[in-house]
Amino acid sequence: MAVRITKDDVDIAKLIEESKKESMGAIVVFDGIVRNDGIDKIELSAYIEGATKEIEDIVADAEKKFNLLSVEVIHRIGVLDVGDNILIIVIGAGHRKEAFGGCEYILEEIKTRAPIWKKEHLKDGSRWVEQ
Amino acid sequence: MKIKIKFFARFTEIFGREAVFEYEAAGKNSLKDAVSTFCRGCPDKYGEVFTKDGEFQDYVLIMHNLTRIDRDDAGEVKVADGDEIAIYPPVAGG
Repeated sequence: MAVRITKDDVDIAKLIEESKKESMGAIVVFDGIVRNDGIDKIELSAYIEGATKEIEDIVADAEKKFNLLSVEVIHRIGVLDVGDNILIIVIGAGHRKEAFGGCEYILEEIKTRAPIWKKEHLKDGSRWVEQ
Repeated sequence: MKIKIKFFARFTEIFGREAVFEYEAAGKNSLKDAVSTFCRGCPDKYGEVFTKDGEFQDYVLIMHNLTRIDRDDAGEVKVADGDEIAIYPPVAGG
């Protein structure tokens, strides 16, 4: 399991290759990107220690629930442009249902539990996103 | 005892990023009392975190030493010297 909160982008193809194990039958990748909702840029901030621990707890739960063989979670922070990667989740499991299920569980839990925030920068100001 | 309070997202624009303050427990010694004591020091901002009745606003989320705390339990959670409390609004990651 690896959880990172970072300003840097990642090489998703490399993550997939590094995740592979002979016992895996499926790898599922989620790549959340910045959508153009009329914004100029988006700024992500985090309570890094708190978010890392919360995501590690989420991943540990998912590994047990879905019998996952590998999990990589990278959440980016900093100022991002439309189309940039925000959240990358790479899940390896023996079978597709476990991989899809584990990926969706981790994603939905991160969105409600991890202390990470978005601030949209518009042409005429900025606003915090609250879900 | 010294308590560190960290604020995040829009709360940083109200309280700053973090503060270390001297908390005189006076027998209460709870997370809720510690945060309330700190916020009473910023009277025009108190209502951002607490209601008029002294309860946490229902949009406030709390971590104590990296563990999520339910608002309703914050009056029972004891704090100690060197503890870190994080106060933040609803999250929006992913």
